Formats: sequence, structure tokens, C-alpha cells
Amino acid sequence: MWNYEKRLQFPVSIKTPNAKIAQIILTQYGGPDGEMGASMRYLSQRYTMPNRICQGTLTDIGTEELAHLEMVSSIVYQLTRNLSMEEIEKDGFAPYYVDHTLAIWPQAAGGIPFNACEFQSKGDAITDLIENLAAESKARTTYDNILRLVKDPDVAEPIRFLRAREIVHFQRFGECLEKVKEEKDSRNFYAFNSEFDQVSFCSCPKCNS
Amino acid sequence: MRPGNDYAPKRSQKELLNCINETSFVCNDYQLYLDTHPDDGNIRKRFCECLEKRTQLLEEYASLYSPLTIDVSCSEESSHWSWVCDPFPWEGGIC
Repeated sequence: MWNYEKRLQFPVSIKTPNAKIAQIILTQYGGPDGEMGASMRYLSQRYTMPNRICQGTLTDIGTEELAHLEMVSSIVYQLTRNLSMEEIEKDGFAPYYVDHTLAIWPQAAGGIPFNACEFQSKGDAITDLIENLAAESKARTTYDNILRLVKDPDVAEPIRFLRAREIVHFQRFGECLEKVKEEKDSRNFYAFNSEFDQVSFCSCPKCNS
Repeated sequence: MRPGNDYAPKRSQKELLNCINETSFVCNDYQLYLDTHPDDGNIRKRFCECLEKRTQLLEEYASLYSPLTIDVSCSEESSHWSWVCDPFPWEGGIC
């Protein structure tokens, strides 16, 4: 269950439209390391995780990624609002415009549509958590690349916020991975296939005593 | 810090929304930390204090301006359903 809040996690208020930058930032909506893939990855992986620390962390980070999805969409929406036909043509926005007008649609900066193959939900906690660490790192790199291209502070500020969150999420997934490793059967030194062979359990001290 | 409170100057809509954003951010970051550190009672206490402040701010905003969530949509004294009249956050108005 989710509950909508009528505010952005970090405010977005852009005064000057810019179709070129919009096309670049759109990649963090539906691109290979974008927020749509991030939220769907975590919200899909959580069900079969071996403990509630991982289930809770994936639920809450997956939920925050939905808020990031909304921030990125808002940036793109405000960057393309009130564009003239001349600007659309001059800034190379015509191929997107012809299919979607100025509506928001998930695609990569190069035009490739969003695809669920951009993430995995593998049913192995170690595999999935390592993918999540990589995903957070890749998203951070993409935001770094965006920040080298963006000059407008109205756009750069929310992008800096999103970049910083990737680092926090990386930290939390690292802690999940440590917890899963701690709880594994000590004889399983190759650390594989934990979700198929084990039932999920609670990590709280009361249940483990 | 409700209207009529002599100790606090009345905040503008923008200031109050910023305050909600900041308080909610702190709650959110504590929440993620607590997910992986459920035994840290000190942070849990700080989270609870922060959450209480957030709840009060959301109610104050709803009574003065408009509801940000459905849970506070009856704080406003009106017969009108303002959810579909007040701006949506992507419009970038009160940021």
C-alpha cells in the first residue's frame, strides 16, 4: 500500500526551459540506470529476501526511488514546458516531440525505451544486493555526468540532492549484504542460492534467542 | 506553532513547505538507517521526535493552506474538496 504526498522530496522550480538538457535528464527517468529501473528492481526483489532487514530496506529505498522518479519527471516537465516550435527543432527535440508531444515517457537519453531487462530480480540475496550496490554506483556516475553538462543552478540543485541519495542507499545495501552474510550457514562458504533453500526469518533478538 | 501562538512568527506557505520537506527528509534518512540498525534506541528516539514534528507541520499546513496527504485532508475548514484545485508538486509553484 502506498500513500501519496503532494510535495516533491526536494523542490524543483525551473525558470528557463531547455530541451537539450531535458533529453539528457530524461535518461534518469527511463534509462539503464534510471529511477524507474531502481524502484522496480527493489520493489520486485523484496518478497523473497531471507530476512526482514533486507525486506524493509528494499521496501523503503524502493519507495524513495518512486519519489526520485517524480523529481526527475518534474525536472523534465519544467524544462520542456512552454517550448516554442523553433526551440524544439533547434535543440534536437523533434524526434521525441513527434511521438510524445511534451508528455513524459520513460526512455534513455539515446531514445531507447525503458525495459525491465535493465534490472534483475534473481532470487539470490547476495546476487541481488550486489546488483543493487552496482546500480546505486552507476546512477551516481550518471548524475556526475549530468552535473558536468548542466549549468543552470535551478536544475543542478535537485540533481545534486539525487546524487547524494545514491551514496546513502549504497551504504544501506552494503549493511544488508553484511547482515545476509552473517546469517548464512557457516559451511556455505561460496555464499550462493540463499533464497531458494532457506525460509525467510526475522532478525530481531527476541526471535533469535 | 499554530496561528495565535505569540512565540512564533507566522511562516509563509513557502517557509512552511520547506520546513515540512526538511523534517520529512530527516525522518526518511533515520528510517533507512533504522532498517539496518534496528537496535539503535538513541536514533529511534530522535526519529520519533522528528516524526511528531512532521505530523504537526502537516496539520498546520493543511489548516492554513492545503492538505499534502489524504490523512490531513479534513484539517481544513471547508466544504470544498481542494485536492484537485491546489497545484500539484511538479508545477513548480511554491518551491
